[in-house]
Amino acid sequence: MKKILAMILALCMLATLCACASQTPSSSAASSSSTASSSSAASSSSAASSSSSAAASSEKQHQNVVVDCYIIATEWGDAFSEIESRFEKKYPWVDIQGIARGSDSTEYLTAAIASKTLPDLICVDNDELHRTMVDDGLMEDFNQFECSKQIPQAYKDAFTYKNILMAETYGAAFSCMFYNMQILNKAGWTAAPTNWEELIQCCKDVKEKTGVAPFTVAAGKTTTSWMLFELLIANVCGDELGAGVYEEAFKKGTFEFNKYPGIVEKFNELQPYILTGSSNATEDDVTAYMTDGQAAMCLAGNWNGKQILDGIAECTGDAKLAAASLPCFNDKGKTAWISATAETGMGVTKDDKRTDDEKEAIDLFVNFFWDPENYKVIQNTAGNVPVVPMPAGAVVLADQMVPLVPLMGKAPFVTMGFNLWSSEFKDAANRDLQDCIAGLANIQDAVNDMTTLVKTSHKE
Amino acid sequence: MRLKTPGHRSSRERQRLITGIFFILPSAVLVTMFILIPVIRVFYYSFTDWNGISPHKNFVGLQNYANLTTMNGFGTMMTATLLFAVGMTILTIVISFVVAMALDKKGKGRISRGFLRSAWFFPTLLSGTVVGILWRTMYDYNNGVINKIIAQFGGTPVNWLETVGLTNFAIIVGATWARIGICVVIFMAGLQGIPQELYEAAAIDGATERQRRKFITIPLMAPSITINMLATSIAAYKAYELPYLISNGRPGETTLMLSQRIVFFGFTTHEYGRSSALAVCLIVIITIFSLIQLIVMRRREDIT
Repeated sequence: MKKILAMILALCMLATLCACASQTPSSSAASSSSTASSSSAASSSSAASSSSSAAASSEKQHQNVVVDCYIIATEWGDAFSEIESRFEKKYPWVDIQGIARGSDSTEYLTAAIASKTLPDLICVDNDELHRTMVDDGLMEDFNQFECSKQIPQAYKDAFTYKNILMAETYGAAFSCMFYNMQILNKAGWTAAPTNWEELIQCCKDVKEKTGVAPFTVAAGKTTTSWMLFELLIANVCGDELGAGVYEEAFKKGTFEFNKYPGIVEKFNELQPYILTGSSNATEDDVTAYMTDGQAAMCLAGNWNGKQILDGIAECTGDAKLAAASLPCFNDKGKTAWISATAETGMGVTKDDKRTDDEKEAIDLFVNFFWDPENYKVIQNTAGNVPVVPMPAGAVVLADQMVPLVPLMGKAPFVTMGFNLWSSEFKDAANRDLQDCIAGLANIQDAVNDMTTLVKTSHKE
Repeated sequence: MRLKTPGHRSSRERQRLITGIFFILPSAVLVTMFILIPVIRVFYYSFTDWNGISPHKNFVGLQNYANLTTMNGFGTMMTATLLFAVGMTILTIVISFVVAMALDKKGKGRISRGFLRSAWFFPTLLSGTVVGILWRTMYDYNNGVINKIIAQFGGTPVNWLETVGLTNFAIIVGATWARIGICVVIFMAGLQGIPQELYEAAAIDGATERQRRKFITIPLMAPSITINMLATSIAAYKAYELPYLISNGRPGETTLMLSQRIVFFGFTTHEYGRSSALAVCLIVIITIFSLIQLIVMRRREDIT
């Protein structure tokens, strides 16, 4: 009896292991459809089956295909589902499956590459993982798709690596300043500062007259800790170097941060006014600081604009006392440089075993997604800056952000740091910067280290 | 009666052996597949320059190990790791032993003791990520509950996460809080295994409570102390989520752990070879320190 029980246990275990290990393209599509977080999965499969007669009567006969789409963003997940459902109504032979939504990109993609189960469409950032995927021939050149022609060149450049356009961005992001005008009014300021000298004077007045910390930034996140620094770089040497020069030098590892003492001087002027604890603060923390009136101004990305402005409105009790502007790190009389970037994009993975119908389905979906009528659904939900020409009145942004968009389009800008860093540079340089923001380290030492580090660690 | 020749098993013994093998086969296969094989592969990768994605792996010999000694911040990282492991182990053992002694009291207060046992064990059920985020939020200088309580009592808020030295302590406290529960359970099992007659005999001989604890409880708890020290120190060396989420290596690199560098090189810079070499380094450190602990603690057990 004991022997039989032991054998049954062993056989059960082997059977479950074999079942887990079995992975064929068709079975992985079936398993991903059963675990897909997309709410349209059930409706799309029923739509696909019920419209088989419609497919049969269409001009060209198509095999029913499944296009796996790995989109991280959960905040506009419903908007993506809306586009899926529109597409599947128009092309009932295609089943768009949203998979692994919300999961960590690096972890998911690394596992998918190892198990050879990369989905057809993936989220792409301009980071080392995706550049390695290009090196290993895992990404299609997005230039082959018609929709890539309408994207401005600057956004295409942000996602071009070794002459391959690895993705098309969902939108644009840029740096902003947000103000609690109630605190600024108490300090004697009826309008937001417009240049560096005014910014420092405003910080001084806020600190002396109200006791509130003048400035904060989510330095716990590398994008925003570097944002403070890159704005100093841009406004100190941008006019001298011109557009794109800093970025090229950075990528080649030749940019000499310590060649511009103005960066250190300006940082030292601002640092005493930064809220204690900012060096570890996340974006949610900064929103909380602004909502609780613990800081008068903050530097943040436009992607946080709505939360921060709503927070300030809640704090002051009046939405009119929540203000926004482009960063004013420029010297008086000079043009203000900002930092901007293409956001996360969508890329197509390479698969030599794709059928013609699958290739056509991907081509159709990608062009459908970036059609302004459909893209508008994402933009209205995400509140980002659109990258395709939009119909008048179609763009939805917070009221205070609306006037910034055309200004942002005209302002000279540097590309946000995460497009330029190597992983090693990002890790070490941002840790140094965070310590400098906390007042634990000397910015001159950090700048010297960065100058050395960019030479030794940087890969294009 | 047939004489049994040396090495010869009877058919009954052979059947028992085969049954036993079948029973352990499932877990043996799982351990082999998910622990042994990956560890062997880590050793193999540590001699290559694999990037984790490419199908090509080039053998580089001991290059990855040679690069470890010249790595920036290697000494600081080892110091941080050892400090964390030692600090967490000592604090966890001391606190959990005291708590176990307090919860082991018999007699009145059973319901409250049951509640307290559950309360002390609860943090063990939380994932490392939850604990890390929880303590990071509590340590926040401006909105953290710890500073709010300090301010309520008229004190000055403490900058837990931006003060060199204090941040190490902050992480140790968070990790200890999450670990205490499991140690308390093991200690309580050990305490319940001590015969009551020993305490009664000592009481008759005039021993005070303190003397009974010193000469009976602590020596007889040596095996439990050994188990807890070993398990806690191993967990401390491998800790990743808490140090990462609470401070991410800051201030400076004073709280940057070996485990964080392993993940960084493996999954961020895609240097699997280097990451594997660091992982092997960690395995060696854990093995050495665990053996030392085992030898020292076993000697104490033998003495008692």
